Formats: sequence, C-alpha cells, structure tokens
Amino acid sequence: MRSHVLNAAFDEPQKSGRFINRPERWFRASESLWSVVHKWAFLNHLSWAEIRELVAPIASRAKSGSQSPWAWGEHEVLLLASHLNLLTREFEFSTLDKFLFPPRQYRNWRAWYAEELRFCPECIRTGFHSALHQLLYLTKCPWHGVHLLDRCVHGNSVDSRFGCQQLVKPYSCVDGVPLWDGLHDPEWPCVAASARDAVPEQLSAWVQNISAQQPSRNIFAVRLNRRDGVAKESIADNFADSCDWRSFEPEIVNFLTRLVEGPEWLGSSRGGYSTGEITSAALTIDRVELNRIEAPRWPFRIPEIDSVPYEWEAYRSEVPTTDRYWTDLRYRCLRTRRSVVDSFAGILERHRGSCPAQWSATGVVPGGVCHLQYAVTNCRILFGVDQRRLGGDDSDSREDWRCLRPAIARTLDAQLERLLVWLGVPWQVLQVASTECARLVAWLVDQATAALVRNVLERLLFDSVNAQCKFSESRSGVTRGGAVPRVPLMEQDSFVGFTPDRWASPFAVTANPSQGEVNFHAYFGIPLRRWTQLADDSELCRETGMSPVTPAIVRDVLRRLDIQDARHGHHEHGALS
Amino acid sequence: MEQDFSTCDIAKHPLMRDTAILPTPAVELFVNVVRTWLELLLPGGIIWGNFRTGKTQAIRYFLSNSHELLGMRIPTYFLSAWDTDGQAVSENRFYSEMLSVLGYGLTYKGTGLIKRRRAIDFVVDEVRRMKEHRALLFVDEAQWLNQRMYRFLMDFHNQLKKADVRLVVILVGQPEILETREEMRGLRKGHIIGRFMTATHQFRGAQLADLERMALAMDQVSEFPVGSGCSYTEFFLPRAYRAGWRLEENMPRIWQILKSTCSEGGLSEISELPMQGVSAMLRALMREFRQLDCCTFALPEDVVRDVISTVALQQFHDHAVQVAPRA
Repeated sequence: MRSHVLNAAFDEPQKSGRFINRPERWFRASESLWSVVHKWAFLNHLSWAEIRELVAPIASRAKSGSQSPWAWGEHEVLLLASHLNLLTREFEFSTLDKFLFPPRQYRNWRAWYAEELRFCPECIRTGFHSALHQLLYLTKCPWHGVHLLDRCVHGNSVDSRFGCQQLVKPYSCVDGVPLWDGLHDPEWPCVAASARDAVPEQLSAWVQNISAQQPSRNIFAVRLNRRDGVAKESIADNFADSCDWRSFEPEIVNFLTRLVEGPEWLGSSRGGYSTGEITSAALTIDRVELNRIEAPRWPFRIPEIDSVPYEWEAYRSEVPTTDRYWTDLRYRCLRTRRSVVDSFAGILERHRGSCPAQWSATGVVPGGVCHLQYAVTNCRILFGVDQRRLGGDDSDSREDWRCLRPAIARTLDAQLERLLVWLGVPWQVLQVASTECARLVAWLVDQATAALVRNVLERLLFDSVNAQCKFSESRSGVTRGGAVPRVPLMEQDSFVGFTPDRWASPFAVTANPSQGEVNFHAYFGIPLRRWTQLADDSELCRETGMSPVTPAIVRDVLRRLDIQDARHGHHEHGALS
Repeated sequence: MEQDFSTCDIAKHPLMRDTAILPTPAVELFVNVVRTWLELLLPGGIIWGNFRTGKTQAIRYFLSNSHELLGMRIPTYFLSAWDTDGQAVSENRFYSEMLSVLGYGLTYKGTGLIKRRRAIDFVVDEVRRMKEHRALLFVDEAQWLNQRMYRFLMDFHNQLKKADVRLVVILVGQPEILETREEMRGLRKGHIIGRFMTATHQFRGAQLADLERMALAMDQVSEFPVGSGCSYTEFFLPRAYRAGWRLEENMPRIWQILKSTCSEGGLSEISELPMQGVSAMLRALMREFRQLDCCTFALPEDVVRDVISTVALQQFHDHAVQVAPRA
C-alpha cells in the first residue's frame, strides 16, 4: 500500500469541542453525577448556566432555579458523557435509578434519597462520591464502613442540587472550603484501573441480580390483604410489588444486609452479616458457608407447621432465605426484647410524667401497662405522628410522609427499634422499617398502636384472670411448656378472623397479681421466657414507685376500660378476689 | 490484477477538490525550520512569503502530520489572525477565537477573564496529557496582528510558562510582517520581538525542482482511492501509466513550455510561481490528459500550452507584478 502523504490533508479529522478533563485521574465508573459535574465545573470554570446550556434539553434551558442531579434523565447524561468523552454506560451507577430498585416503583420514590449531600469522609478524601451515599436508608459507606456525613466541617449541610450558588465554588461547602482537600492540586491522583473497575462490577452484580427477580407479595401484602376496608392505593399496598427476598441468592442477601446495615441484632452474626463493609471477597459467601452457621439454642420448641397460626406461617413464608438464617435473626430479636424489658425500669422513671392522663393511675403491672404507656407516648413523640394528619386520603398521607421522612429517619434509632420490638411489631416489619421504609412503620405504628394497646391490655387482663390456674401449676412444680394453656387470642381459630384491629403483640403476658410475677408467651402459646426477675424482684416496684398488682387494681382497670369478655364465662370481677 | 477506475467520480479526487497537499521542497523546508525552532525552544519566529505561495497549505500539512513529522505528539494549534480594521480587539473576542482554535467545547460563553483561564488551563491539560512541556501555535496572516493582540499573546505565553509549558509561536504571514517587526524595533518593543520574532524564514513559491518533486509524488507516493494502490497519475492516465508514461519525466518539457508561454505573455523571468496557480495548472493538465489517455500517450504540447495560457498565466502574471515592487 502506498503512502498517504498526499491525502493527509484530505483525511484531516474534524475536531469536536473538548473540555478540560482528567478521566484517568478522577473518574470512576460509579461516580455520582454530583461529583462528575462539580469536577467538570471546577476544571473548566463553568457556571451553572453554562452547564445547563450544554447538558439540559432545549425545552428546559429556560427554566431557572436549581436542579437535582438525581432527577437528571438519559438525555442529560448522554450529553454529559459526550462532552466528557466518556461512554454513557460509565454513568450507569452515577444516578440513583439503579439503587432505587424497590422504591422506584412507588410514586413518592423521590423521598427516598437526600437532597443535601451525604458523603463518606474516606471516599471524599480521594475525590469520590457515589450516588449510593444519597440513599437515606444507608447510614454507612458500603466500601469503608464508616458513617456517612451530611455536614461539612462547619456543620452546614451541602446542597446536592445544581444551581448558580452551588456551583460558584464547585466541590465545596457553603463556606467555600473544598470537601476534597486535593481539589486544587495540579495533579489529581491516578485511579488504578483495577480500582476503577472493581466498584461497578460489585454494584452491577447485585443490581442485576435483584432486577432479575420477579416481584412477589411480601409481608405487607399478606397482612393487609386480609384487612377489611383498606384502600387499594394505600402505601402498604405498594409494597406488594417489592422483591421477594427469599428468592435472592445468599450473597445478595448478605450484601443487602450489609448495605442497609441491618437491625442491631444482626451486628454480631457469625455469618458476617452487617459488618458494614463491602468487600469483593465478602460477596463470595456461598450457601455452604451460610449453612455452617450454628443454629442458636432455642428457648422454645418449633411447632409443627400444621399447628401454627397464621402469623407463624407468615414468618415462615416471608423469611429471606433459610431456616437457619431466620432462626438466627429470630433468636437475636428475642434476646433484644429481653434487654429492652430489662432496661425499662430506668426509662420508666424518666418518662413517668409524660404518660397520658388516663393511664397514669393504672400502675397495674410492672413491666406491663406502664410500659405500654411509655411506648404509646414515646411513639407519638418520636414519630411526631398526628392521627388526624394520617387519616385522610392517600394524597394527603403521601404529603405527610414526605414531611415526616427526615424526622423519622433521624429518630428511628436503636432505641426506637427496641421499642418497636417490644411493642410486638413483627421483625420483618421492623427490618424493612429500619432498612427501607421508616415511614411505613410510622404509619403502621400509628394505625395499630390503639388496637395494639387495647388487645395487649385485654389479654393481659384475661391472663391475669387465668393466672390463678397457671400459677397454681407453677406452685405445684409443673414444668411449663406445651402444657401451658394457650392465650385465647392466639389460638388458631382466632386467627381465622385475624385483622389488624386485633393485631397484638407477639407477647402474651401473664401475671401473678398476688406475687407480682409476670410471664411472657409467644403467639402460639408456648412460654417464651419467664422474666421472674422483673416481678419477683420488688426493686422495680420501688424504682417505679408502683405497687404490685392487686385484684383491686385489676378491677379498676377493667372498669375504666369497660372490657367485658363474653368468651370466658368465668371472667367476673369477683373471681379474682 | 488491474483495477478500473474509469467509473470513479473524478470530482471526488483530492486533486480536483484542492485538498491534496503536494510536498514540495518549500514545504519540507518549512517543516524543518519549525522542527528546529521547536527543538531549540525558540519562543517564536516569523515565516513569511508572498501571497498564494502555499504557506497556509504548508501549515495544514504540518498539522495533519505533526506526529509523523516531529516524531512525537505535541499539542499544535492554528490561529488565523483577522483584520481588525482599526477596531480594538477585546480580551473576550481574542480568547473566544483562541478557544475555538484550541477545540474547546464552549467558546462563546463567559467573560474574557473566564475564557482566558479556560484557554490556559486547556493547553496545560493537553500538554500534560501528552506528557510534553511544549505547545505549538501557528498564527496565520500574522501581518494583521496588532499591538493589543500581541499583548494578549504575551500574556498567554507568560501564563503558560508559569505552568511550565513552553509555547512556541510561529507567525506566518506576508512580507508586511517584516515591516511590523521593523516598526516594533523602532518603537523599542523588544519584549514582543524577543518573544515572537526571534528568527525568520522565507517561504518560497514553486520552481522547477518543486514541480518535479510534485510530479514524482503524483507518479509514485500518492494514492486514490485510498487503499487502492493507484497513484494520481495512474488514476488519470491508466493506460499510459501502464505503458510506462510518467509525469515526472515530462516535467522539464512542461517547464520549458511554461517559460516560453510566460515570455510570450510578457513575463520575461520567473523567479517563483504561486502554488495556487501551479495547482490549478496541474489540475487542468490531468483533466485534459485523461481525455487523451491511451497506450501510446505522449505529452501533447499544444494542450499544455493552451492550459497554461488559459488557467495559470494570468495568476503567474499577477503574482509577478505584485511581488516585483517588494523585491
């Protein structure tokens, strides 16, 4: 082939416009749009008006004001990629679309991420920010395991939206101090190709796995489909389309658990759950390793599947993966309940004054009614939920959730989780609450608390009535277990007509009024734990300033609550005396 | 296997589209001078030549083949100065042009200050990306640069130097640029002369040696269609070429005809020919030869004479008339 010398000018390539860009020095294929655009603006001295002109569609160029990077569509990303000489697929994880896989199905999905910038101090130190950090249900950096920050060193939040003000000093807080120390360095550190590739590989692996799963019903759908008069458009119904966690591979479940940090009781799991760090090696945990987890020692016998009530069945069918995994969680859940009860003594003392007036006189059962007083009061306080605000139509409710979201997200801390456990909110709900939907739990609690309190109290009082026979057994030295009579509400027949109105704590509480003894039972009537130390020890009574339960107090409560039990003919006030 | 290009559209041929750059000794000299200045890190120099002698084409040739010609990748830019017609040139306008020349994505937005910063940062970025410390800027029609433009260029040069980037500015223009240099010398503008006018080189028009070199290139090292292995001469005269006819061998005769035609037309002596006229002459000759292509093809002198007198003579004459007073 001959030389092309003479044709050189003829073949001269047409240069397209280029920008100052250092992709090999800063861009990782999962970097957030916020980070990319701010770096682009910094390197090229671009204002927001100029960026908007370059990137935004013609129709939206005239719009003034700020824009959220998380609301950018394909068009903007496509143009941005072309300006930066990058491939569009390199922006696959720069937006939140991929990470909002369940919530994206809901109309209010935009409330699931933060508008203010959330960042990992370790990541930002290397000039990296991921869209993943913006998700409100994530509290730790998946890569470094450190808590995400939403404040700069001056204590101010950083607006993640793009706007004239925000881009005056790119990649900086409102005080003009760069979030990344190396921003002004003439040479940015090179990002190794392996490091660049590892992150998107990890992310794409589980996002693709999750996306491939077919949506199925979940605990909310199961529960609420049985509820009469529930509007089809309710928030909980939306969860009917969320992914079925059972169908995920163990490593995906593992990753998700890590990702969402998980409830507190997952923290010390030997299976490596919720250590708060994502490493590529951790993703290789297989079923064999999962099966190697030793089953916890059960405080009670697992009943036969045919004899379990609906709720138990729901547990069985909705657990994420294996029985062992479930039992592990379950055990920790129960253990947490105990610690909650143990810690209530001090809490009670601090919150005595905040109990509603109608309950204040009913120091009925230590660890019983007063705990509920505390729970109800503090649920209200913590959630800030007003029953009237949530009782309207769905549109109003959604607005309420939007308003409540930041407050709830902040207050749904470990204490509240424990409280919800104690209240009897099933752990699935709790898990979802702490990971995906704090607002839903607020709603559930708000809706259910009244019924919950009523039912638990009711059962408490029934059990107080029945306590005579139970404690007579106890006195005679009969071992508890399957022989203990089931709590009436928990019998299988009762569950046929189970509705949230009768949704009660998984606890069944029995008390020995004369001796101040309190016993807790699971739904299925098997004694869960006998916290005799609570009632036997009169220290609690001294701390709380309450008297042990007496028949007179029980009668007083019955009268106040106007509870009549037609199912138990022997339930007469006088029977206790 | 013989290929038949008779059905090819002749209008697409680089020679017909005037996109082919014929490597003449003048172009080679131009390249060598630029290479030397670049290696010596001269901050700038002047390459001057009469109009239509192929200076701009030489720059384009250099830009297209800078990697091969220099043996390394150096950011190279081509700014064409404009006649301000006495108007002041703003910083904004100057750097808009500069950004456009640099190939920056956003040339028309921002203040002059911002554009200046962008231009500087952009060159620094490109130089670092290519792991170089030099950048080359050709300024065509440099005789139109005014004092203000020189000041902007100086600032640009200084800022780049601050970032450890050596900008080599090649001012390419007509002989008036020499007058500008003398004028500046008189005005004691040593800072401009010392930066951009440290050396000079004259770009000459075509002579017989140039024509022979061009003919050789058309016979041997050219190719169209790309990848076909067919030289320009073969494309236009396939039968004659296969029979052994070469343009280069006939170029002395064409030169003689050209000289005689010019003398008949009143041009007694030919010192240099404008490249535009030479290109037009070659273009017309090849088109006419294509009509006469056969195995026994011989140079049709009357046709050559006709072509020269109708296509090129006027341009040669005009060139000689305008160049003579300067000389």
